[in-house]
Amino acid sequence: MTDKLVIKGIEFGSRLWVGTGKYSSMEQTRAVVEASGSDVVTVSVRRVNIIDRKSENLLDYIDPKKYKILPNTAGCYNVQDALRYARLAREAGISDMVKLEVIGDEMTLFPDVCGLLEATEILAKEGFIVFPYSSDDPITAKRLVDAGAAAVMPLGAPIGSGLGIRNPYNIKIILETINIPVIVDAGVGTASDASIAMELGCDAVLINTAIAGAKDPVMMASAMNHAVLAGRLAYKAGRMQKRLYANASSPMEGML
Amino acid sequence: MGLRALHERQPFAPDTDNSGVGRDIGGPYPKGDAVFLLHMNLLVNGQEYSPSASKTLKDLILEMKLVPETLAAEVNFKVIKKSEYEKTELKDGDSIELVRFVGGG
Repeated sequence: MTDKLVIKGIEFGSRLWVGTGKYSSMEQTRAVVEASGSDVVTVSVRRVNIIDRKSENLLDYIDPKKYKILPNTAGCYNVQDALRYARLAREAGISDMVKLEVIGDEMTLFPDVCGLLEATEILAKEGFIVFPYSSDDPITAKRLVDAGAAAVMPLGAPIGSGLGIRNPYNIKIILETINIPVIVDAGVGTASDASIAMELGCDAVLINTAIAGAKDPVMMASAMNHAVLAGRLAYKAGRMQKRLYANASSPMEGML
Repeated sequence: MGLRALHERQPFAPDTDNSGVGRDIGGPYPKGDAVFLLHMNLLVNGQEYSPSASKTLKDLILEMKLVPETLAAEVNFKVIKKSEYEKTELKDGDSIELVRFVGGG
């Protein structure tokens, strides 16, 4: 029985998705993505540098034939901007997928959920496969499903904070409330955070800063690869019950 | 089209990358001749740009030595399909945005 992640008919080879921001070079980006085992990378949409024509092209290092490119609408603080960036991203001609961000605040980079719901509904009607970067509020998650999202991406903690899964209980409620995939996006700091997300039952995890900000990003990418696999297996294996008191692991029978 | 008589226009289009694309066509010209040249002031990615020979969006992208397949484009806030680049005519005062994918989370 296969455990592949399938969203809107698209088969994903890995439950670890990686961001391509904050790396020191295109080559490091490439090495990290390879070490992660991921087949989904997020990218941003930005102006071509018309002064320096020789600046490198990311897609020369991350082959769109090998990796699924998921453009984001990072930096958009209102619905109109997010729609504009999403439509431009689609015209780059790779796919209809978009990681939708409508940000509410510069300090926390928390999503503006009202704007997010509005933009999700508009883009879903235009045929986009919308992955909204959301809060960990289960009501918002439910509304995003109604708005036509392909999956819900609740944050574990603020983008780039590395604080881990701050509210696993809410994430668990989201998992029990909605019937589309849940992909934790933002806040993972180290491998155990990724495992925790997967052990809760999440379908995938999107990680950027935890890898880019590590002392050895390529090694951390590999760690995340294993962490997501381990967490997913542990979830499927069905963990033991927690107990308040001890329950001996060795038999009493045959004691001297 | 932003057609203006030669004696009214600037003597040369900016050569922003030393590629020799801009050219000096300064006067004077004999009186009585009516020589009209295409002249457009565009805004490209927030910067003023006067193409020397481009009429369409595709011309502009190629004149700027960019690869159409690697980018997405807007003219006057409207996203243009790649298949329409050749047919999208530019005019004086147009605002063009050329974007591509970069690293991001």
